[in-house]
Amino acid sequence: MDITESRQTEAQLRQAQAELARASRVSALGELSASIAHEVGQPLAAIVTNGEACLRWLHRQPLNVKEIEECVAQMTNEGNRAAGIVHRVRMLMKGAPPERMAVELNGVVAETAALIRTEVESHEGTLLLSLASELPPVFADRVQLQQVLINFIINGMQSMGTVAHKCEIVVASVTALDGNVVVSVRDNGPGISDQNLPRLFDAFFTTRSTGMGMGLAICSSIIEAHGGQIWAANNRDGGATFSFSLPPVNIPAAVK
Amino acid sequence: LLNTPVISIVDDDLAVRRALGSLVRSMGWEARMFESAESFLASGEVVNTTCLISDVRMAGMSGVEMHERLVAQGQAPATIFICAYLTPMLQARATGNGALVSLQKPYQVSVITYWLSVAVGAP
Repeated sequence: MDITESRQTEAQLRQAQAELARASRVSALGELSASIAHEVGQPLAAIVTNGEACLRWLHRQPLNVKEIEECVAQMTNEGNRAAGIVHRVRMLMKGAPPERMAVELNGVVAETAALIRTEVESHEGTLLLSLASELPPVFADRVQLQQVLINFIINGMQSMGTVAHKCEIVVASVTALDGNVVVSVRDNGPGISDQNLPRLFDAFFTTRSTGMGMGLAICSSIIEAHGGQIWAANNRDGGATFSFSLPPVNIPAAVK
Repeated sequence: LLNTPVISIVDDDLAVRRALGSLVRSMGWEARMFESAESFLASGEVVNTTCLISDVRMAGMSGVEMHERLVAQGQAPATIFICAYLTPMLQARATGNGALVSLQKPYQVSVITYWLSVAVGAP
């Protein structure tokens, strides 16, 4: 194989990877549809209610300008809120070119939780956050990190399909002793079997009949591209925990 | 003014709560707003409430649980449930207990105003 040919193969490989990443994002979005409908439903309810109220205020004498003003201001606010949700979903779907900046991970966790909470609750589960009070910023692409967290949470939830008790997922953040920031997603499912544990992050590895087996592989490549590490382990008291760590902004990524 | 109907609104979403409050006032009635089932139950406003509009899913006690408690105490006002994610099971449980209706957000406002009029007994 000459150099040109090998470059072409490499480019094709990269394109295939990007396509797969996109497909996995879209399938994760499908699973998120209940959450998205919920998130958009709230501001829409507020907008139509304010619209009706505003019309009624306009027909009342004497005019109550304060009420009218309040309705219109709220409509604008809530329109912006809905637009923000649409924007976030679009970013997830499009796989906009990675845009790295100093990111506060607790904020990323909170945004992701807002997107996915309803999905967890619609499966009668609970989503809890246990966040460090202060974290050093990391240099990262917010949307990609959201994608990793969504994958972790959906995986945790789906592992619960076979158990009788209620699903509880805890997303925690902490600064490790080495200064890296660690985010973990803990479930109380059946845990991971010893034979599956080493293959979890391999491409096309899945235990579900409908899974593509790309979710965790893509998470792994995202975290590695950020100079971080990704791992999974069983909890002593049942269930599994998926984690990733990222170096803080001021310290260069550790050479592995 | 003594007989102005009081509509209590329980929703943990501030924007929805305020919008419904404005709607109720624009219809000439009084609005009381609460961000949780617990705060409504503790407010002492239950007995003054002509009609209750409540979200179903909220942090803490759910709207359905709150309504069940009020029914058990014989104090449940006419109730309209609104919910952003309404499953058939939830709907059956909500209305099975005597609520007027349960509506999915975003609802048609004309449907809300219709049921409000029914609850208040206005033409």
